[in-house]
Amino acid sequence: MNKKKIYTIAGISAALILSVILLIIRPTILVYGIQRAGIYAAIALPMALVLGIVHIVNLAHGEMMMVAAYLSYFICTTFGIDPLVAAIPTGIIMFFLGLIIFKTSIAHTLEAPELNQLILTFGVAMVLSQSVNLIATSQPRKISLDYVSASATIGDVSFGIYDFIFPVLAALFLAVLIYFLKKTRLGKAASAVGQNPRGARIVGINVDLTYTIIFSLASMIIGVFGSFFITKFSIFPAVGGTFTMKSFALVAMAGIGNLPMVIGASLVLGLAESLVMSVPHGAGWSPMIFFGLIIIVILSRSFRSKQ
Amino acid sequence: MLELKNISCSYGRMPVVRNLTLDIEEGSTGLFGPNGAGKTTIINAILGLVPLKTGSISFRGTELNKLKTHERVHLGISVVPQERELFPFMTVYENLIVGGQNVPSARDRVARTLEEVCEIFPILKERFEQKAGTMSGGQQRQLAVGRALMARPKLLILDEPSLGLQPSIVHDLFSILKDMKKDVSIMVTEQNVRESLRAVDTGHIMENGEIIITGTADELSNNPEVEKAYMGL
Repeated sequence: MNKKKIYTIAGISAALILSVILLIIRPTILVYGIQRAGIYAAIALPMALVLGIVHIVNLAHGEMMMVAAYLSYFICTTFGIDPLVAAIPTGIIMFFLGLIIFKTSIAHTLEAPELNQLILTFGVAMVLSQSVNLIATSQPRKISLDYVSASATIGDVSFGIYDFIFPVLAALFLAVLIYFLKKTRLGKAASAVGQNPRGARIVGINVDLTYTIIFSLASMIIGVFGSFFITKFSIFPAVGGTFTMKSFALVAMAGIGNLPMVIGASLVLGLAESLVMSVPHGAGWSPMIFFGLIIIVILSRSFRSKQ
Repeated sequence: MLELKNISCSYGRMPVVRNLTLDIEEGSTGLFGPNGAGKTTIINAILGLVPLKTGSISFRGTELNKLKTHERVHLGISVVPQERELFPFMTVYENLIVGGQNVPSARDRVARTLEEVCEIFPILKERFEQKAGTMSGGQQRQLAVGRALMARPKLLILDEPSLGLQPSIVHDLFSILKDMKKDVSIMVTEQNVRESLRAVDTGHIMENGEIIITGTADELSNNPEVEKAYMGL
């Protein structure tokens, strides 16, 4: 069994053990933790895809989700359709927006040092958030939907059930991505490009086209997620920044290119945040959790590489 | 088959290949020379991985200068690089399949080609489920050759295939290449001139980015200069 599999199993086992303990002590922590984990996993998976294959840390990731959420908002308010239906046109538009962003900017820095790529994607993030700020103002926007407030009661515990759509969405994204990478010719070629771009060119793969398709595909997934995001949360131009940081932390925890482990890392983060929030006056401390986790991950990786 | 006309390449200001003209005929050709002679640079130039300063390269009448690497591979040029360039986290089977699926002319015959490759390298079939990155150097070299053959190339280029391998494996590998040249044209670059001359029809000796001696395998074997400089006699 290789190390990647061992870490995946260890991560998922740790999350499951934590889940069982929480289920026994405070079931609501488990429910809200899983719901949070679903949101984190769904937004982190496309970043993991781009980082694993195109080898780009996209600092505009959260801002692209914000743009998708605004797109979905305007599609819903203009045509009077549900955001879950608007996910389809939003995903398609985001595919082409991703394509344009990639071809006009990121593609030119693929051979450049990583710092140049970080500065570029940071610039793209600024352009996107400021453009939305100019067009839509900084006023928060939200779509009110009745079905979002649906709840269930089990024993003494009452909780919202709509938020379980996010873990389902994350599982769906993961299943689609794994099927794409393992079973389709383009997906297998993309995996090859991710592992060895030079080797991929030598076997006849159009590496530049693969990068473009993968980045656009990730943008499409972000687009679909953006539509789901607007069903539950208010949106404003700065809403995406947090998700860039959290997604990056999760991908770093999971290991580059390890998509299933993103789910495990999201569960750990979601459950840990939920646990801290359940403590009186703990809500303010929950954003510290992912900083703590990323420090632990970086320290342990540094320790392992020294060994 | 493959014509290199007055090509020059350099890394920065350092010229590596100087105004070189080379005609690779069907059959098998060797390109020999010491480290730094420019052998790998020529292969990279054929693949389009190193830009040409001057000159042109054409393959079976098609000029390659403006084509991207994958388009050159699609025309029928497959390369086994010195560093093997495998996909380490993919299994042997997946590496072979990727080698065949991305060349349009080979795509329809992947299953048949896979059988043929496994006949040449039986060890690969035994290791189908093993990750490529966990194989030994010799097995990886065989996988790299097998992956290149999956593209059903018209010209197979091997860059120093004996590098880092024990002599018995090198001997076996060249015996396999000798058998293969009936079906596919081969160009091999080597420092191991003695072993390589057994497998090729013609050879070129390079030094400092230029070809200094050309001849058939027999002529080169009997050339006192070659014997002294490259065979240690």
